[in-house]
Amino acid sequence: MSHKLEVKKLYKTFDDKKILNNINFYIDQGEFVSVLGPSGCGKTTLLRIIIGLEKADEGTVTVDGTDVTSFSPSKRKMGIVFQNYALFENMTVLRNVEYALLCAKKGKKQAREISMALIEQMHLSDKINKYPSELSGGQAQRVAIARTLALSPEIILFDEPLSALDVSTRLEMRSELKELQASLKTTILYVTHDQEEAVALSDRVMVMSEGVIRAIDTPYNIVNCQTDEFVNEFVKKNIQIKAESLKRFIN
Amino acid sequence: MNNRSQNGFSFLKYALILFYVVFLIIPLCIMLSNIKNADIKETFTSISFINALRNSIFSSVIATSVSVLLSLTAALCLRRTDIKIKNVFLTVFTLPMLLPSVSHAFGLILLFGSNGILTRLLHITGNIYGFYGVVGALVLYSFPLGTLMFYDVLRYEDYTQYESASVLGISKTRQFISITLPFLKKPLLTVFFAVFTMTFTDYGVPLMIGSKYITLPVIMYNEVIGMLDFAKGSVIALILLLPSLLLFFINKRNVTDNLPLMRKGVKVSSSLGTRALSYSFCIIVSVVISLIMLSFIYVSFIVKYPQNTSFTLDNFKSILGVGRIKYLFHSLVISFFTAVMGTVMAFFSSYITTRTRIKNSSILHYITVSTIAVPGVVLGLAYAFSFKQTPIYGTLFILIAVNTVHFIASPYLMISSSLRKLNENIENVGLTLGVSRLRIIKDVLFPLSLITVIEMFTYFFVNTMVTVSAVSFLTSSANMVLSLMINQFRAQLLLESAAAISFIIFCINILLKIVFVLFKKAIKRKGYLSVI
Repeated sequence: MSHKLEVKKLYKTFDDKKILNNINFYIDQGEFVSVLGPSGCGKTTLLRIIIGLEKADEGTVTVDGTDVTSFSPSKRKMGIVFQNYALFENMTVLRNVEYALLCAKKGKKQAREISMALIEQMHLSDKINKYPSELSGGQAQRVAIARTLALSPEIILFDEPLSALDVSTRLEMRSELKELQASLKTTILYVTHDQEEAVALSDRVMVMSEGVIRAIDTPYNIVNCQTDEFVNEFVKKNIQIKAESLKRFIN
Repeated sequence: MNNRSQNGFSFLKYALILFYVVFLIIPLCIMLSNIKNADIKETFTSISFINALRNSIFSSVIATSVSVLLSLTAALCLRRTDIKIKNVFLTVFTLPMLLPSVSHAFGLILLFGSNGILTRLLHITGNIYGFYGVVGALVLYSFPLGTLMFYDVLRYEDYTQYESASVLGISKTRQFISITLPFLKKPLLTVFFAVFTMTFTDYGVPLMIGSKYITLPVIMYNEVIGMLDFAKGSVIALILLLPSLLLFFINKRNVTDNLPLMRKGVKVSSSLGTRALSYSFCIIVSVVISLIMLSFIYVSFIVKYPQNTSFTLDNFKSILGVGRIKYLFHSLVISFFTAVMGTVMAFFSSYITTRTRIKNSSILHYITVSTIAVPGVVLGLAYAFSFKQTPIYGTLFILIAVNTVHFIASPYLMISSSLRKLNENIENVGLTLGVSRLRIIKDVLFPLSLITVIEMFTYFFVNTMVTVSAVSFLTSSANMVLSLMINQFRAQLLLESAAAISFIIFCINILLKIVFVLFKKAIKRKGYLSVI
């Protein structure tokens, strides 16, 4: 049986610098996989290649066994939530969500129904006529997710979506994301540089460094059973430091 | 970007470059290729040329120094003191922008000429014609530009350094010398050269009020229009081009330098003395500008100054009467279509250079920005050289083209700054949702930059209405514009009609500005513009 998303032998070079070097991995239906790595390790480029915003020098991307490497982004059955959400600032919450549906030639009534349902699901019913500039970071992110879900993508990509939020909202959004994934049973590929976030959210964590995958495993194994020096340094130590700080804070 | 839209924008990029090749590069090359060594030698050995060069440099340096000093003071009063009605002062300070340069000189003549209103009222002796008149009118003409440039620059100064200085007990005067002045060093140089170029290449002012004080643009105008000596005109055009090119390279260096980070806008608090001085300065400048405006209005509505000061509307009737109303119509048509064409070109040029990754789009950027280095009078002469034998010569189209090229750089930079501020992933979101780039431009980018677009439109329209330099070599009775008639009427001693033209141009421009302000307010009420 084919995997939901599979990436094979992916290479990308920018100005003679290898950004991605022989990337191979897969994600199964309903799985939540995080791509974890320091800034500049190539994780956002990987995401952009998977959705089709960037072209790889070599390699393939398949969805349900179909090679989508040459497909345009909108034909790949994927949606993406960007780090800074990229909401349409001149449109209200409702219009932001409805926009894609109307552009996709869905009828007005149907577009409105789908949008309203998504807005309700994201707990934004009282904000439908607000503009993005009038929303908090967490609310803006919910709008971005609702907009992405409007076209019912089978895979959702997240590009460091929580990095712009404050600590408490980030924690709140984490659990909401997890709940959302559980209810929609969608496949999620989630890019982050936050070890704690990756470990808390994911079914599997993929650690990247300098364009190479250093490990893909369950969060438990990534934290406890790794022999790779970089993974130990980047994940384990950081999580231990955070745990120590938390302990000191509580004490 | 998908292949179809990539090809579309790539084609547009080449079409825009082709436009610049035809309407900027080729005309300049043709004009410059006409310069021969003999012409250069002859020009540089001519006494009239040497005198004009000396006059030009001298009057421009003096006018620029005065104008920069006044505009810096004005901007400091508006940005660094807590005086009231700042918006009113700023509006009055920028009013001269709504008039052709000839009108400023004409205003001074109406006030201080041999039979000037104030000359008679205050029994002033002396002569406004010549050096003093030229400098005075050039200061008036360039003051709004300097003020707006300093006003804009001062907005970006970081207040934290003033806070640190205050904590250390450093006095306000010392703060001004050691923080404000160093911050203004580069902008000062940029404003100085911008104002110098403006005054050095203007021919409307010296033509109107210079009398025997001849400057280079006037000689160029006389040689080309009067003597049909295009070769000598080209040599002078080359000299006029030099300060603009210098300004262009200075600005380019300044732009590439990193701007200081503004963590906090400057908080304004000033002493009673500073406030009193600021009020005095602003009021005096406002009174001077208002007097010039009022002089037009007054003279526009009287029969014959100073012999018969009874009220009449005949001056307007003579301009708007049969046979002449077409000049007003020409001005409006040219200004409108320049505004439409210029805004569309600037918007899409900027879109290509700031929001796409199309190969070699930097060529389009550099050509568009470099148009700022070509003075209107030089561009006009280059067009006269290149298009004299073509069907577009003497048409409204050639005036639309020359004005579009002449004024495009500033609106292009305005919209580029606006588009750069918008989230870089907007088009990517569109792509993943299956929405085309054009639709994203129409539905998202255009509405979000609507205020800038309207500002660009207004900029093109107002400047085209008031320009004399870019169009003076290209008009005949078939495409004559209103601004050029001011000097014609004055030469025929029809001062009242000349004043009425200035007044009409002023009214049209102010009306457009009012519409723009109302429109801006209406858009702001929508709520989302707080992000722009």
